[in-house]
Amino acid sequence: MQWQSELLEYSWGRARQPGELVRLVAARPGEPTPCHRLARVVETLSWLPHPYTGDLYPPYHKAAALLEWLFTERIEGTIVLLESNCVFRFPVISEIKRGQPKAAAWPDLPRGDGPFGLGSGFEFLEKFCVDRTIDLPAVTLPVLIHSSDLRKIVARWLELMSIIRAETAGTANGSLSDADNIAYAIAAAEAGIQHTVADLGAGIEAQQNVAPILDYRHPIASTDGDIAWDPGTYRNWEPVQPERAQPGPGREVLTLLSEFLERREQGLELAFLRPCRHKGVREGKILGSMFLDIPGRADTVSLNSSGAAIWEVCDGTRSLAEINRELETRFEMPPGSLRADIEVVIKRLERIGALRLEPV
Amino acid sequence: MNTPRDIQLKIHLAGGHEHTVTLREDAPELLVLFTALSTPESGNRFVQLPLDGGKVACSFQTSQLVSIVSEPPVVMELHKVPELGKVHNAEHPTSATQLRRPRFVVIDDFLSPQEHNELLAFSLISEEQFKAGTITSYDPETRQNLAILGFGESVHSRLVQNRLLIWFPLLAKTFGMPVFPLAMVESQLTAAGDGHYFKVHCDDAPDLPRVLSCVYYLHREPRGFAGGDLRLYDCIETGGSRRPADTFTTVEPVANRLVVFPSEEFHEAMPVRCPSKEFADSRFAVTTWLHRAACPNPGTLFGWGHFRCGVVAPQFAAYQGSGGNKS
Repeated sequence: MQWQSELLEYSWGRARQPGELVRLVAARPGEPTPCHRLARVVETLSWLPHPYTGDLYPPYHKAAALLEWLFTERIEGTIVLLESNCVFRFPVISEIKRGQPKAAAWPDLPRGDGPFGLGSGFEFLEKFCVDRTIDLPAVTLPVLIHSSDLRKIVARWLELMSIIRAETAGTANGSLSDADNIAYAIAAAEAGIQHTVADLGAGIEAQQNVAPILDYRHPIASTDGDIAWDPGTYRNWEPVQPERAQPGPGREVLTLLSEFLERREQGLELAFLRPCRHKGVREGKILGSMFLDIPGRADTVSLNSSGAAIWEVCDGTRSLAEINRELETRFEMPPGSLRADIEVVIKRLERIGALRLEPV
Repeated sequence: MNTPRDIQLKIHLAGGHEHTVTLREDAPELLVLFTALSTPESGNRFVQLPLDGGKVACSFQTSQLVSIVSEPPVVMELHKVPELGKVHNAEHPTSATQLRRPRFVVIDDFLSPQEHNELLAFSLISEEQFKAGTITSYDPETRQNLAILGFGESVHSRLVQNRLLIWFPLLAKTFGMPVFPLAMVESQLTAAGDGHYFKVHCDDAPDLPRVLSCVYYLHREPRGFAGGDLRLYDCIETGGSRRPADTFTTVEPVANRLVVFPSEEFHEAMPVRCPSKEFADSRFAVTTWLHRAACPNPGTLFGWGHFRCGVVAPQFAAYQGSGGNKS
């Protein structure tokens, strides 16, 4: 959902998480691509529903999109893999070496006498897995992993997810809802990639935690024992009331969402962005008018006096909020009165390749 | 006529960059590179060379060339420079002739280490079942290797097939072709021992609707053979006819590596040299072909039996391919 992705993006910029934020989006031909200010959007083939079984299970798309992204872009380096219903509290800065991924604990991994030490009901894996004696890592997302390791896992992850869902479809409980976590654990174990459990992410129910990422997939309880907020029923940009939530991670998520909504309403979600000039852009002044010569453009861009004033302060040192304040002070305008105009100009400068927006 | 030699070139570029590439001595790129060095006034040109067995491509402007070290030494006749991407057609000087690079992808670590070892163990204990023959034809002048007939029905074949089907939509997209309904997945296990080879050919035919060819390599460690590289040839296309060019890209047969290419690509398995002459030191390969169905059939099950690939999923039906290549 777009609000989730934007909230994650906001928290990413707010936490000053290093690296690039990439949103993998399943797109059908002709469908518009969602826009983001900080995140790069990568369109991938849709695996929803499963193209061969018709199963409507959203995690297929997670593994399929990762497979396509890793294969197409030949990514090299550390990847923080997280669900869209997560937010950053502070940055994850560990660089991960090959063969040494870290992941959040998953205490719900079924245990028993079946293959891989899984519980009963997993005997079908005997047919599809060569070595069923290896131990499974009881881990789940968020995962911090080197791209080369993820590349070894991801196709098998998708395949096993498909097999587990298909094989459990006829059971009393229907297709296994945790198929993605179990498939990931088996794929990682088969590839010989050992995971270390780390305090990477926590759910909102974990009161005492220092994890850098919060997962808000479950409803947030209110102080009176009711539900203060439910992500499953939340509609885009509806106001929220953090004070209704019990103190703790749940209230922290709602406070963040509330802060984002407020800033979005005021156009201040840009506060954490900093316009930087693209390399090679040259400026010139003729009779008081400013012109930009932008690499790759045949024409020269002319700026009026307001555009020139905005361009001059977009020197990579100021956030958009600071630019707003500075220009409002310089032109003696009330707070917020120039925000919309400044944003329009900056968006245009970004579109024509003169500026790029970076997190502060 | 002597077989053109392979020339190893160490290319030094401005800024201290250095790349090593192997080209055949009649490759047009060789002439382009030496001409650029000897006559810089002939103009700046864009050059792309395959590196690391075709997994990587090096692109640069000829104006960046500083020097070339060749082994063995070569003497070039620098009187004509063919256009990369276009070659002259002597028979029909007015008809356009295109030199097209081969389309292929390389997927390393295709299976898990245990799965690779299981397939290798199966290959080794099946020595008696390998026969000098193929599913379609056997011509020792063209091809010499051993194959297991009926491998496609085995669980080991299904292991490879099922994983391959996971990759299939992405492979189709990469080759710029629409995802197509499968009629069947054909598979064979081959062993290439000392002196074995498969000369230049392509896998498709009018009565054989193979669309994608997939070669999965396996061998024991340390490797007991040399050679056996896969050569994917550039294709000269004139009007409706196609033939292999003399230039090619080489992919090394590394264990647990899958190479996928459109079945129409001209390719060759180079001779294997196996000093021990032991069967266990052979270069083994599982070759799988994806066949296009003339009439989609939603009832056919593929791989382990969960996948209905006889029809194209609705989300892929609208996708018509982008025409992009990846190598």
